[in-house]
Amino acid sequence: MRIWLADISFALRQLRKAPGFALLAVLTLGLGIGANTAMFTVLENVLLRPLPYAGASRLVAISPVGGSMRGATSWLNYVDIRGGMKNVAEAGGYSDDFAVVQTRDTATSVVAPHLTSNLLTMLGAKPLLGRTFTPQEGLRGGPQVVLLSEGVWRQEFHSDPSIVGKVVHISGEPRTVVGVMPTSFHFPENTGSGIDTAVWLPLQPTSEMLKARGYDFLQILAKLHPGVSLARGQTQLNAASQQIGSLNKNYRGLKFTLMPYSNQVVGNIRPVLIGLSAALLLVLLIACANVANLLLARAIGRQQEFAVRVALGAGRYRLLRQVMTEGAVLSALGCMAGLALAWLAIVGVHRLPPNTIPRMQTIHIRWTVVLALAGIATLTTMLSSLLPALLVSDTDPNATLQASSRGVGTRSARSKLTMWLVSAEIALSTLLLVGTGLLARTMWNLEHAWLGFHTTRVTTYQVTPPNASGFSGMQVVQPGAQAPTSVNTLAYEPVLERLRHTPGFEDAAFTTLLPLGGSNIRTSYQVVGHKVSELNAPEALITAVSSNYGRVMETPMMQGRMIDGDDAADTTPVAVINEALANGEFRGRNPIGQRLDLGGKETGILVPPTIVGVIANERMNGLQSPVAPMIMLPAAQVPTSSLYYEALLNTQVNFVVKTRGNIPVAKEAREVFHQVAPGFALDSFQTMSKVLDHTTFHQRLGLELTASFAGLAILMVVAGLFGVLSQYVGFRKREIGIRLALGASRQDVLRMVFRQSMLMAGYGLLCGLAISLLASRLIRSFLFGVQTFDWMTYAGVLVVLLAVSVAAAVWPARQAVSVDPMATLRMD
Amino acid sequence: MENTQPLIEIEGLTKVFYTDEIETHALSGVHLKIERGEYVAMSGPSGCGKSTLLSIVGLLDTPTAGKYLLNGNEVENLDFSQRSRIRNQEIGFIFQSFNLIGDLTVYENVELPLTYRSGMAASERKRRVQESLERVGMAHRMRHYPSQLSGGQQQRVAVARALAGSPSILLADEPTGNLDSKNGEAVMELLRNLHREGSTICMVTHDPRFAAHADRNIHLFDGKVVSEEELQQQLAAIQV
Ligand SMILES: Nc1ncnc2c1ncn2[C@@H]1O[C@H](COP(=O)(O)OP(=O)(O)OP(=O)(O)O)[C@@H](O)[C@H]1O
Ligand SMILES: [Mg+2]
Repeated sequence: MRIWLADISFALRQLRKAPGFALLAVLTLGLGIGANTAMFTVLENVLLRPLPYAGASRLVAISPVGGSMRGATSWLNYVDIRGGMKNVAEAGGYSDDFAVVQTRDTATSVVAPHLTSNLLTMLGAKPLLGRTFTPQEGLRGGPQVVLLSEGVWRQEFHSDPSIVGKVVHISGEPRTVVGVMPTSFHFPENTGSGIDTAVWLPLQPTSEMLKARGYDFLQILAKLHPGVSLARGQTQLNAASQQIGSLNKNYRGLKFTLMPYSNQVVGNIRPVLIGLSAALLLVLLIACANVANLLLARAIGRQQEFAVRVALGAGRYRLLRQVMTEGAVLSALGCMAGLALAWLAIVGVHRLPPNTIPRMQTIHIRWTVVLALAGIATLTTMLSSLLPALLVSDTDPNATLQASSRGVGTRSARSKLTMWLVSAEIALSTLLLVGTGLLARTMWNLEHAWLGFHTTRVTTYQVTPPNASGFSGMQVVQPGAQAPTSVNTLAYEPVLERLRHTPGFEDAAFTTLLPLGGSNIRTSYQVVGHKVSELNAPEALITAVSSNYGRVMETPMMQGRMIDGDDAADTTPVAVINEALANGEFRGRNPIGQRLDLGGKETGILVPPTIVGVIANERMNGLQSPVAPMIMLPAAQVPTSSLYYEALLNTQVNFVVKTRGNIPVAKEAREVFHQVAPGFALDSFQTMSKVLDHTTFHQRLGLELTASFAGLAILMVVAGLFGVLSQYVGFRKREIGIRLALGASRQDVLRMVFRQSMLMAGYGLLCGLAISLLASRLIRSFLFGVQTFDWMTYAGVLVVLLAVSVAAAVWPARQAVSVDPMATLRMD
Repeated sequence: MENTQPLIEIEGLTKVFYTDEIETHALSGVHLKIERGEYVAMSGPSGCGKSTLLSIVGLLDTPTAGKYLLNGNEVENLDFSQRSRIRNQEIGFIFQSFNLIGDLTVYENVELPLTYRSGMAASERKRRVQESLERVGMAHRMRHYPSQLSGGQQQRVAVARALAGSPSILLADEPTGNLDSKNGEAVMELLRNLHREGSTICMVTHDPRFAAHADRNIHLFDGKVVSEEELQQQLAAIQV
């Protein structure tokens, strides 16, 4: 113990004697460790830590294979599956939805998931106040109740302690508050930060839900009974779906699959996170190589000291331990620096736009991370000081003490080793740079891709009617009943008229499906005269647009005309289709004049609209997925008695305003709504270029992170190259002196140093490029418009690293040239 | 072409070192002539300026003042690269501590000065290296590294390296200083043979036995060249 303390104090003294060395090593390690700790924190929270629900590992998501609306199915299917799986699991359901919370003077659009009444009990969720839903509240015509989130309770209801039992207005309906859920409750996961201010409503089946097996809106979540395997669950699920198929001829062949809910939550971020962790591990390895090199250089410089120690009787083990202690002290200091950096990084993670990473709100540094940090520190100690320690403990005192009389320099494995380490660093950073290059090219391609519309000077925002019914409340108005007046006539048309005359505004329109907005409302359709069976009916995105929509977005027409102001409720129903649908469905035949059957009596669109135009493809779901076929209807022609009215119009719609300059629109837009249509909730104001940024967010984040990792790596490589070359020159001062004495010119000496640098860079590059060729396949799915073997990227990386290796050699080369042959030779 | 001019002609050479505001007059007015084919031994007490003079003769250093004609050319004011070139072609160095490069083989060490000459064919280099190694009797150790050789052997390789470029003059600063008497003897024998074959040699030595090998002895005292008698007088004066 004493000796151990002595070792530590000696190590600290050594470090203090060479503060530059210590600082460089600690910083390098700190950067590497910090970045890795931050990454591990994210990984741990997102991928490893179980979801905060009772029996979270047994929760499974059940979704139809090849289903239409993102894993959703219908109420009827849900009921059958629940029944069929009773022996192996308990099933519940939920639908993502939204609602407007009204208080005396505000209307706020909030996330409003509808939950089957058993779901919260199944999840083991405990309310902060009151209770969760009762079975009665999940029945058709049951009590109208609501569960508030802590956020809504605090913001909208001023933390009213007696809120439970009070009646509040949600989307125009009075509902009794039965409870408040704590902020730690985030169900459904992946809803983003909106979940912090959500309300939860009990799902009460409507007549439509009880009738239509094709009305897909519900996500099924099940909890397997203890001891039931996924495979057994799937078998039971197959049986249940077969049962559905055999009883309903239109659903023969219907299949469902089940996967752990955590997988669904984590979804496609997993490869991103794993890729980034791999990139970061490279950075850490580079850092370790650098520290190893620094330690090695010092070990060589202290060869004499070690030889003397051995001559005085120090054992191998003592020497080994001394160097290892120094490495451990450095690692420990590096960890402290790293922890500080990691903490900063996590603060940064929380500043990211909502929902960038699943479960982002809950990311914190936990004890497991500290444990991992200790692991990383041990790893770095081993990686960075084991090699120098082994070499040092191998000191042959006789050879070393006599070395001075045995010619200059030694053909040492040690100096070779430092060079190999730097080559390895260069190889690793080549990998990072190639990744950065490919992502940068991807980013450029994404930003310059044709979207089908122009984003310049277009601002969008969401508008929600006060009595929006949402997807969970859709109904066809029965024939004979009085159809209500359309919100389009009542509010949207007059609002648009006012907006178009607002100073600074050039034009305004709305659409129910915002390009790049990521929403995904589909319908099945049939071309009149081309009947196919119902299960095989083709699907297309469906949207209702106001007049001038094409003009605001500047989307060109390929054929025919765009929907305009003359398409009114009392004129012939028309539709515009996009190129994708025209090409897919009509294949060269002229679509103009054809009519689309959108469901007739079942959906309430009684007269099939006539196709009057083909519009260019607009990117709806980002740039990497192909453009889906789409049908556009004039908003004025959507009957209020149809399902489409509830699904498209009497719900959130997206306004788009073209301004004359880059001016904010929120104030004017709110003003107009306030006057024309009070009670409507307006939110999510953003420019279309922001929307575009959002869709390329993963690539950009990936690019920015890999770029900063690569930058870090380059810095470390420069430090590494610089260190090794300075050391190379330092050890060869005498040799250089002799060479100069023998008539070497300055250029000869310069060439010698640069050649050394180039050699290291060359080997590193060669290996790095070869590995990159193999590894770049791993990021193929993130690339857009660029091959994994992109010679421009590879050439760029080559140039950058060669430039780096030249730059790092400049100072050592100058040192070498300024060697005074007299002075070095005098040191006989 | 017979050149009657002395190989080296030095007049009024001074060298002053300035360190920490202290002036050291290492050389103060040295006159020296060395003819072609001469074997000159230089001696004197420690610190009298022998090494300094040798390195100025070898163009490793520049004089503070004075004249230096090498082969009839003024060389005292040349720049670094010109001096490098002349050093490479005209001067062969032999150091007290051999100064072989540890990472290079014997062959590569000897080849070194030739690689700094532009336009010499590889075959010519090879021939010369071979030849000079044979002259010092080290051809059989061509592939060895300096650390695998004894001190005497290392010094013979250093001599071969000095010879390889066929310089006008060999400068040796205490070439036997790190050797035992037997190995020292062998190196001196080697130098005598080279002289017999026509080489010009200027050697610094403390050992009167080795100085006796030379055609001419130069005594340096306190930065000046002095005669034998003067030296004795000066030394006697110190002893008193
Ligand atoms: N670079 C220098 N800076 C300052 N003083 C120097 C320098 N080089 C030599 N001297 C001084 O010049 C004087 C002559 O030194 P020099 O090395 O020529 O002596 P020397 O005759 O070779 O001695 P020795 O027999 O011990 O080798 C000494 O006083 C020495 O201290
Ligand atoms: Mg000397």
